[in-house]
Amino acid sequence: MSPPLIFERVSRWYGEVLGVSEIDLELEEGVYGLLGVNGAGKSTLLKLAAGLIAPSLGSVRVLGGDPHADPGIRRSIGICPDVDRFYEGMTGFAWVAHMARLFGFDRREAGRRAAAALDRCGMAESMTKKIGACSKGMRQRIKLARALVHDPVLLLLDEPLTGLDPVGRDAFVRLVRELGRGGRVVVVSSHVLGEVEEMTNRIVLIHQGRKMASGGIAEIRGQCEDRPHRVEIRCASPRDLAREVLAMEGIGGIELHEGRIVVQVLSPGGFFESLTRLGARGGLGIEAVQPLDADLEAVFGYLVRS
Amino acid sequence: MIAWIRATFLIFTQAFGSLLLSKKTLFFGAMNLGYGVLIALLFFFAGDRARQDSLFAFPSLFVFVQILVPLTAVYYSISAVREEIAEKTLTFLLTAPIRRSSIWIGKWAAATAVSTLVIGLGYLCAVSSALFLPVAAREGRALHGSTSMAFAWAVVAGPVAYAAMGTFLAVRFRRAMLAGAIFVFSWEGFAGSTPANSGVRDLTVVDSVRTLILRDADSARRFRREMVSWASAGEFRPWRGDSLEEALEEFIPSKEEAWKTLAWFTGICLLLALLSGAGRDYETAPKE
Repeated sequence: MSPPLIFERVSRWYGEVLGVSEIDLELEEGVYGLLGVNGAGKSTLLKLAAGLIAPSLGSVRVLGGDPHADPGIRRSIGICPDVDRFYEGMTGFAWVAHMARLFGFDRREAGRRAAAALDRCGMAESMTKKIGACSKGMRQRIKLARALVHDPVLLLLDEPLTGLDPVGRDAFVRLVRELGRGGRVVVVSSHVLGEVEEMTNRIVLIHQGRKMASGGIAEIRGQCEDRPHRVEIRCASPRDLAREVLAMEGIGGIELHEGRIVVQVLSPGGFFESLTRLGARGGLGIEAVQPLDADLEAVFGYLVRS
Repeated sequence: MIAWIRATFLIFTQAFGSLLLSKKTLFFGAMNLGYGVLIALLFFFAGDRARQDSLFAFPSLFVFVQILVPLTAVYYSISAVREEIAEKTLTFLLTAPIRRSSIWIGKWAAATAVSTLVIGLGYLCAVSSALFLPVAAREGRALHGSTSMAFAWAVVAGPVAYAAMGTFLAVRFRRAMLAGAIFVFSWEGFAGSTPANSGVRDLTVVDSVRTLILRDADSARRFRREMVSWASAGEFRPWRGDSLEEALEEFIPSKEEAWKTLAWFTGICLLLALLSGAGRDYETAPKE
C-alpha cells in the first residue's frame, strides 16, 4: 500500500518567485516536523498537500488522489493554516459546526463533532464566545478544532503553536503526539526547532524551496559526514582521559575543560565502542557522556546555516 | 448534484448573514433610505404642484435605477468575494471538499439577496410615502400604482444581473472595486446612452431594467415620452404627431427581450466567474 502523502518532483512558482523546487517526499503514518527558516517553502508545501494550490510541475497525491483537482480527497485532509482571520462575528462553535457541514455532515452531527473537537482542543468553556472577542491562543485552538472536526487522515498544521500560552503549548504537543499515534499523518511546520523536537524526531528539512533532508534526527545527523561529532565527557581526571582518547582512531581534536573534555569524533561508531571499553577498565572516573550536536538545533545548523 | 446544492446553500446562508450584518449594510441602507426620504420630501413639498408620477419617475430613474441599484449590488457582490480573499478566510472554503462553483454561486446569491433587501428598503420608503404622507395631491396627480409597481423591476431584476457582474469581477480581478466602479459609472452610462437601434445598449443591465419599467409605467406618460425620445435619438417627435405607442414598439425592446437580455447577461457573467475562478490561485507568494 502506498504512503498516504506523496510528492513527486513537485515544483511550484508564484510568478517569478520560487515556492518549492523538485520536492520528492513520501510520508507514512506518524508525526513529521516540517522545518525551515521563514520563506523556506514550508507553507507552500502544506498548501500543495491541502490542495489549496496546484503544483507547477510534478504531482501531489493524498491517499492516491489529487487534492487540488478532486474535492472528495479533501475530506481526508485537515489543515490549520497560519492565517489568523475568521468570520469574526460567529462563535467558535458556530464556525466549526459550519465548516463541519461543508464536509458533508448534517446539522446535528456537525454540532456534535464541533463540540467534541473544541472540547479536545481545550475550548469547551469558551466555544460560545464570539471569535472576534477571543485571544490569539483561543483562535489558534478554534482553528485546530476546525482541522480536526472531520477526523482527517492527513493533518497539516502550519506554525500551530503561535500564540499559545505555556499550558496550551504543552497540551497541544500532547495532542499532536496522540494524533500521530492514531494512524494519521500529522505534518507540523515550524521554524522553532524546540517545538518540533517536543512533538517528533522525524523531520523534513526545507531550505530555499528545496528538501535538504528527511528522516530521523540521528539518521540525518549521521549523513553530515563532513561535520565531526562533538562529544562531551565529564570525568574526574580530564587530562588523563584526553591522553587515552587521543590514542584512539578517528579523533579530530580534543578541547580540555575543568572537569570535562569535548572530543571531535570523525567516526562515532568506533569511538563509542572504544570509550565503553575505556570506561569498563576504570580509573578515569568517567561520569557522563553526552553528544553536543546530535539534536535538531545542531543538525539544522549544519544543514542550513552553513 | 445534491451535494453541490447543499454546499452552495451553506455558503449562501453564511455569506447572507455576514453581508447583512456588516457595516456596509448601514452605509448602503442609509443611502437607499435617503433616496426614499428624498422622494417623500418631494411629494411633501411639490406634490400639489406637479404630477406625482413625474416627481417619482425621473429622480427614481436617475438616482435609484442608474446609481443606487448598480452600486449597491456590485459593491455587495465584489466585497462578498474579495473580502474572503483579502482576509484569507477563503483558505478555509477552498480546503473544504466542495466545488469552487458552490462558493462563487453561493456568494452571488447572497449578494443578490442582501442588495435586494437593502434596495427594496429605499424603494418601499419612497412608494409608501406617496400612500401615507398627507400630500395635497390634486385630483389625478397622485402616484399611479402602475408607475410605482414598474419601478419594482429595478429592485427585483437589477441586483441579479449586477451581482453577477460583480461576482465575475471579484473572482477575476485583484482590483475588482475599480473595475466595478468603471462598469457602474462609465460603461453603464456610456453604453446606456447610445440610441436604442445601435445595439450597444444590450451590453448593459440598465437598459433592460429601464425597458421593464417603461413597458409597465403606462400612466407616467411624460416620463415615457421623454425616455422614448431619448432612445430614438430624436427620431420620435411627439409634437409632429408621432404615436408614443408606435415609437415604443419601434425603439424600445419588448419585456420578453429585456428579460432575455438580463438572463443572458447574468448567465454569461456567472459562467465567466466560474471559468476564471475554477483553477485560479488566490494564494500570494510566501513572505521572505
